[in-house]
Amino acid sequence: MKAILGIQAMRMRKEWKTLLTWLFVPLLLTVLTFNTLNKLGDQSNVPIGLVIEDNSTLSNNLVQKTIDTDYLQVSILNLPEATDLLEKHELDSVFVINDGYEEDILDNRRSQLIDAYSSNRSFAYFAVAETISSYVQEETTRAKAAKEIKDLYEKYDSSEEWNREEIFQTSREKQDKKQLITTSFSFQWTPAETESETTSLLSIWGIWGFFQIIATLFMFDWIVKANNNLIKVRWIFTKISLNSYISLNLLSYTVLLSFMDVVTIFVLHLLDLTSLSAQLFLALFGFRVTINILAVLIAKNTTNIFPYYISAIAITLILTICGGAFIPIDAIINRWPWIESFSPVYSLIHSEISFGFLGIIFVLLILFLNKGGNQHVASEFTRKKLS
Amino acid sequence: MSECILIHLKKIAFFTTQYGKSIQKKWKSLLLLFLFPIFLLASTLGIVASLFVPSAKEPISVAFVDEDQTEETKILLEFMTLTIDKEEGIDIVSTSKNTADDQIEDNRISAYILFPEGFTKKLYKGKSVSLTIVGNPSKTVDSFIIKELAESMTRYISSAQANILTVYEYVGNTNIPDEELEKLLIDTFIEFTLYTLGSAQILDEEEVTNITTTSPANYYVVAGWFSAFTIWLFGSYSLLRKDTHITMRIRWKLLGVKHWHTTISQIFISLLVSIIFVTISFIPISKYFAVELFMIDYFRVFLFVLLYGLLLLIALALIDLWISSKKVVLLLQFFFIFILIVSSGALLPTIYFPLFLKNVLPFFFSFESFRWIVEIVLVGRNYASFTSLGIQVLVGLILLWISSLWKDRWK
Repeated sequence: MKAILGIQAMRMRKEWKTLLTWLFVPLLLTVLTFNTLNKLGDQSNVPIGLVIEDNSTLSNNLVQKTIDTDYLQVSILNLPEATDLLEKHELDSVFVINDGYEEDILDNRRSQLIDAYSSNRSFAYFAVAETISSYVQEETTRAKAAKEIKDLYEKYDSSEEWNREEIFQTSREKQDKKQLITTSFSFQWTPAETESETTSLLSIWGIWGFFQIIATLFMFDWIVKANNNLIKVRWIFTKISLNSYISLNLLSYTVLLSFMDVVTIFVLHLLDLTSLSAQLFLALFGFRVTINILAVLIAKNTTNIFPYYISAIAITLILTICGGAFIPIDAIINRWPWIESFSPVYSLIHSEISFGFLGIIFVLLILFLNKGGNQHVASEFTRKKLS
Repeated sequence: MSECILIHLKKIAFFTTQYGKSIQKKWKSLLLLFLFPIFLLASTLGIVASLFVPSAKEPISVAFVDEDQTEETKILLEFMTLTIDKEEGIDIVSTSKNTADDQIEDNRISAYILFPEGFTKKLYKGKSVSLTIVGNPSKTVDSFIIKELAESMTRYISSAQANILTVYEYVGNTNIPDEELEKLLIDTFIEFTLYTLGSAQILDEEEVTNITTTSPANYYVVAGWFSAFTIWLFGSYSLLRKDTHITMRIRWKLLGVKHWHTTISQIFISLLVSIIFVTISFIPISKYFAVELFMIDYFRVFLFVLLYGLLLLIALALIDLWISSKKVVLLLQFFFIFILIVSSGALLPTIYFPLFLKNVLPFFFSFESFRWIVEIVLVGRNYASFTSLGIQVLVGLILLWISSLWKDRWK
């Protein structure tokens, strides 16, 4: 072990900057990606067409409200233009404010006030239709309230004059003044303070897992370098065999990277992106061991540096996409729950350890390390001589 | 002069054959490379499909937890249950908070909605109340669907509530007896809630489907094909990567071999490999389209594929020339490929991008290439302009030449 540390110290003197960079890159990229993606998601924007057939105060209100909606990009068009653009998929959907819109609302008729056109590729149509009908709904409910008040005034002969505009105004004020009903969303067992901000479909650990697998595999290229055909010959005559060199280094790298993982957890906690729990630490440690063993397995079987890097990228993509880091795979797991123990990324996201996967690669590691173990002179030779 | 060009061409031809030979030796990796994007896209497709398919079989179950236990909340829950019934794939049960917590742990429900104590009272008084939605961490998608649903519900109820309060305020001014006012309150509450929740008939919905070939399925087939091509380009370029030792470089230099000789050869061979792949994969795709592609269309698509591939490889080569650390080069190239796929609109159609991104999209050649390919293959457009991409290729080549000269001279 002392010799190994000596070799590492020698390497570190030359390469400590590179190592430090690769230690911190995953954390940095994770935070950056997570924040950018969330921001982009918030600012995503749906182009819709609006056709105005009714020219009145209420329809103007509706147009104004639609334009003011953050996620809508409204263009006001005539019907042929709008449907043409819709067919070309340059608009998500088209809404037509029908003639007689105001009249219908004031008379308490609320069927088919708006014509809605969508195409077979209108991905946001349901959300937009929901938003616009909620705006119309507000107006119709107001008209209903006015009528209700009128009826009650007649029933109990009020001294006051019935004034529709005034009632509308009061109702609007009441609604604007405060958000009367709000919702708060959180997942079970997450602390209340990290609510709304971080509940997003994207999992921070999924993204971290992605960057971490790439970075770890890239960092383990020392095995490939030591495994090179030119250098391989030399291992036969060294004091330490290649396999014990690898296993001892694997140990020291695991310690170093686990320490970095703990730092990562605390940094992410400080940024309010995750909550601390003992289970999370355990899961991260399990993930760390899994990925490190995986890196050794792949690196040990490659002799050339470029194919190793390329397969590192490929394996990272497969593990993360099939592990549900970007698109959730809950539905698949529900059907075949055993997949969970074979997907390290899915387990990491749910603070668990994939023992199935870990077991398999651990057995493979033992097999591979024992396979080439005999090609070493010192192991038998020196012992005999010394005794 | 012409002799000089001939010498250069000879060198490029030499390296091209070398690269060609080396890629032939790697036929196993090539086969893997061909299958890799197909596997990746198929599994992505499988995951996306799994999100939509099971909801038809297994409804999302939600629990309502009523801690207020008043007449109004009971009616409200009943109405909500009626509006979100099983037709929409949602199953509703009412339980207590503890059972709901247990059921989430047993993975039996996707979320529960909690109506807090004093809910009705606060509503009547015009104080703000908060509904708590607790999601199941192992059913994230379902939880978010419930969250959206509850939010739209509360939007409706809160607009109804403002009007209930208005009615209450105005009628309070009349000489109505107190008991009747109380009764009126409940009546209006029920009436308005019913009224707002049943708002489906406001919209008259119609679907415009003139160009059926642009359906999402067809769009994503072309998008997948385009993404696969992008990955093949990157893969074949990387397979040809050689760790040329510095001593070898010096020997080459003495023979007059420049960086751009090897780079051009590498680009040429990887383009050739990817185009063979892309042609093979286009055969099954072209069979499934209703749009008739004429010879000229094939030619146009081919030209766009060629220009796009060339631009992408030039960009990869530029990254290679500028940066010396191999790991960083690969990582940057990988991110670049990812950005190209996203900006083309192959993952999400570009009309849904944030506004400021939409404004810079024309500067991405992937966006332009993919748009033209979609126009030709899906819409059946009978016109194409290659000027912009052609100019970009030209600029790219000049940049590549200058960079390689710089690399030869100073590095």
